Amino acid sequence: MLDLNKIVSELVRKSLHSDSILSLTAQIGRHLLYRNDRLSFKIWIGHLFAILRDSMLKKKAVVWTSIFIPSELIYAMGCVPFHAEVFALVAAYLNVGPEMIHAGEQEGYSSDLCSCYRCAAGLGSGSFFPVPDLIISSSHLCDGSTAFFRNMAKYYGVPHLLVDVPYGNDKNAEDYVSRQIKDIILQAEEVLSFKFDIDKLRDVLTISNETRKYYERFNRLREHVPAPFPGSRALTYVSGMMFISMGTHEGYSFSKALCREVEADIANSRPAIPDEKHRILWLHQVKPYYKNSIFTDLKDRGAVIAAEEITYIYWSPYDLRCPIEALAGRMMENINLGPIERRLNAVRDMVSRYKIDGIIHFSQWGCRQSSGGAYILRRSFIEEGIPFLVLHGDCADPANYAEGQTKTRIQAFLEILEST
Amino acid sequence: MKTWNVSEIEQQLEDYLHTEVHKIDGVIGWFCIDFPEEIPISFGLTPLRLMPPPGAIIADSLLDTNFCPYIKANLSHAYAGDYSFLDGLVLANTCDGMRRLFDGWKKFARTPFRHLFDLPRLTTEVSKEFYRRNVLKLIAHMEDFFSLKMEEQKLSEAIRLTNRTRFLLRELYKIYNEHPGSVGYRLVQQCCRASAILPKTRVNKLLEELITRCRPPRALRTPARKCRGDASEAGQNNKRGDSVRPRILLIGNILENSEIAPFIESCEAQISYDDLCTGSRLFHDSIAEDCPPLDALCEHFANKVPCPRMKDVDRRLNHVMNLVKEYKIDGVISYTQKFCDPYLYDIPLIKASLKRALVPFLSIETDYSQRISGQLKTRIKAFLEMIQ
Amino acid sequence: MITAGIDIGSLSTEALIMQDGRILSYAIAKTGPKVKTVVKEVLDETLHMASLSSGGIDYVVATGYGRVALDIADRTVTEITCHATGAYHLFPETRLVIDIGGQDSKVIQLDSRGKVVDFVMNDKCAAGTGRFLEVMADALDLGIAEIGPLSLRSRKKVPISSTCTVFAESEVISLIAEGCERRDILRGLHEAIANRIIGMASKLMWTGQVTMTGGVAKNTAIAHILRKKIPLPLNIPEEPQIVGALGAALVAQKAVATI
Repeated sequence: MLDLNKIVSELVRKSLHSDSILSLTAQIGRHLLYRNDRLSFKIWIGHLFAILRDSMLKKKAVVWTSIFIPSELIYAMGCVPFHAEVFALVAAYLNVGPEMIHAGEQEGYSSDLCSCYRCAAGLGSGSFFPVPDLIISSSHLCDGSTAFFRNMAKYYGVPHLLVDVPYGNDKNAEDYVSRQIKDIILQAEEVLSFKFDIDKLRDVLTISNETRKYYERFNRLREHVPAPFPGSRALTYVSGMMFISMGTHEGYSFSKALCREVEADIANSRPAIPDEKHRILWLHQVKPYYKNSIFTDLKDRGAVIAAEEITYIYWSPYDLRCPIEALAGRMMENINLGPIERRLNAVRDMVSRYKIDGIIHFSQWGCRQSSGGAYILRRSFIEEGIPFLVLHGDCADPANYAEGQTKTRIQAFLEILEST
Repeated sequence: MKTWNVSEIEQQLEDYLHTEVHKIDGVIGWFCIDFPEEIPISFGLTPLRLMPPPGAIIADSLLDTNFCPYIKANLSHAYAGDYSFLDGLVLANTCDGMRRLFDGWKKFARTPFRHLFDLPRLTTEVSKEFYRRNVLKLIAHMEDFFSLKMEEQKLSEAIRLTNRTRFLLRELYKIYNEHPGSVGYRLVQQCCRASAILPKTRVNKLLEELITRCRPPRALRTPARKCRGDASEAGQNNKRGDSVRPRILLIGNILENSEIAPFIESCEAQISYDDLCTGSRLFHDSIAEDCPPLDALCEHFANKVPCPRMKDVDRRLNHVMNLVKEYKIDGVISYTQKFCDPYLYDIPLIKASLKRALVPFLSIETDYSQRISGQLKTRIKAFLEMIQ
Repeated sequence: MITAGIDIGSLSTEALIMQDGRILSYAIAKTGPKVKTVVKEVLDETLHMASLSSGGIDYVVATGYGRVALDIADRTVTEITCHATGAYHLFPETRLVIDIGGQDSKVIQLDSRGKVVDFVMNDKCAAGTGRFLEVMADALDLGIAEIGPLSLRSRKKVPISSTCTVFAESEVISLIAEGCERRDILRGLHEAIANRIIGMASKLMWTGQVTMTGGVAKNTAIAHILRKKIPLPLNIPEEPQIVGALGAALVAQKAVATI
């Protein structure tokens, strides 16, 4: 278990790249330390800080990675994975989004692009992010991810290793992805001068499998009526932890603590919101991370995000006999790959398991892969009699958040739910 | 020197699209130039690049508003039934938008044969192998659906046919560069368009006639191509037609707008070359003819000028900078469809490279309209005045 | 039971008083910057016309963008529900409501009980709203009431390609300079708005009857084009601007009946 105070003071004591990094990390400490006294939350903050510490102090080789590269691979390499996307959203949560997005746009990134990457570009160019030794990213789920990490690799002058994940998921595609992972391991060995230990990967995957069991349990617990855990929180640190810590002991402890807490909440009748009337499913990977009133507006009328797409366990446990193929399989089982029917079926599953009354699809500005499917999904669910709201917004750029208009849409959606 | 009227070519295309193509059996629609047309051609099918007129707003409610206008136009027309004459559609997995277009197409249009051609983003040996298997998959699907059998000989013939088109387009660009004043860019733009819409035998005849009209007769023999895909010959001409007019390089993706080029030319500038999906990328690299056709197709994919969706951005930047040098470019104009992520991430890098080389750069992101707005005219004019 | 509905839009504010399903009175005023003052004025006017005092109202429902600032309301409900409720009351076969207001537009889907099932909004962009027509009328030196009838006299279609109000205005000015007839330009403009509305409506199911609400419903050209493009019966209320307030008053009736 990480000692949070020790880590924070260590960071503050050592002189890092510049004053700006110190101030950012001090801000993180100040804002997040007092927020919540749950063990799961503390583990999340501790892990965030450990990543920051290890990467900024160069305790291990720093590998920038995208959220859909299984972090197990990076941990098995003995490196510290730096998830630029996650930290960009943490920065948005700390209200430095507008400043960083502006800086990203100064670098030439159009305002039609996803704000997560604009924010990350700004943070990178402002030396707020640790300098990578290597970048390993995957082409899914979006063009933006491929291009962003490619551009950053060029900016920092480090190699960019891309796992090109195809549309199809037949044997041909599986072979393609597995071979790429193998090649990437060989290239990483060369760049970082280390020898990859396949047994280390097996150990990491074993921890991940155990962690996965707890996340499955967590999801089953959330089927409870009334909902014990609010989606607004799941969309911050549960999804965050799922991206950055699979395969670590911290990740395992986190998932276990989360389950215990939710079991206790259910046993003591502490639902996510008082007086639950409507159970909502939240679609898309993110929510607005800056200050907004969406979730309080929902809560005030008894609507809770009972479940969300991003914490859906879509992958099967890793088969340790062929760990590389298992990693490839995990990547390719993502419900957002391939034809929209995959996502549609997963959403139907969620609707039935969590007894969903209505669906909100958060259409992030600049996101083509997800928002492009929103209206197709909507037609299906409206036909099945489930109210479906397409809510346009932005995860990191408050300039794209129109409060009055968002409020009206949410209120009108609630009026639909109340009349059914 | 008499040149062919642009409107003659446009009329041919209109006639073909409005009447002829509806009577042909086995029309296969495609969008991106990564699609190997040689496959349907070798089957005796007719490939047709789908370049519709600007679309209705319907696709805003099927996809979303901030989506590629070219994709939306296509889905709008598909939804309206305008593509009901198509027997097949092969959609290459080039971008996020295309994937959603495929979903929308399957749901709202009724094209009998539909195939998603999975495309790698890398050109490593492993990726080339994956590409090869996907080509075989496409062939197998077509064989099965249309009850045909692929013959290697026919595929080789198809490659020779499309190479001829590429050669002729290169020749046309050469002539265009030799006589920039009298042959407007719009002519080469329409010829490129024709090469993707009309059947290749017909296009080749059209181009041969056009080139003969523009030049004294000489043997237009296609030179043999070697296995490792040599660089294009198109950049041979370095003569400056007119030393006062600034030389512009047009880069970007889909340029269907017929007013842009004439407007640039009316501002006393010359479009010396382009790197567009509707321009030189159609013909810049030929396919090798001296090795088995399937190998040749794989090599072609790996070696041709890369599109921004590919991981290897340096190869693309080098290509653009080489063009700037070769054609003694005074200014670069990027013309792209709005909301195109691959290009939007490309632009900062191109901008930085051009800045280092002290070459002025103008970026235009626009919709799929055929007309040019007052605002755009002002921007372009101001840019051209700046570099004069 | 006497109820009042107040619809506070960004351009105009309407108040309507109802008793047991019967409209007693209504009034319309320009909103302006002093929302509370205007609301009081328009409410006083309706009370006066119905010969009532303010204590005579049992329940007030406020709607429209200004609803949040109002403290005299017993409840606030969105314009979506109110326009739907009002339209359904006037035309019970209504299953689609097209509301083109001064600054926003929406299309609402109802079920057979008059309940909102789905909706699509455009409130980010002036194109497709009354504002678009105002700007264009100005550019053509015409009054807003003239543009509909004039547009219907057009024999030639001049399509407007710009989707943005600002750019469309420049396009219109260029067209005037080129010598295009005003009625033909107007036809293109009305088609542009109608296409935007159809685009929004295409996200919903086309069944039953369509009822237009909002100020722009008075524009005969828009109605004409929509009738051509939507194969469903189209209803236009006598006073389309008050449908929101009517709906609010009806919601108030229902609320007070359950107390």
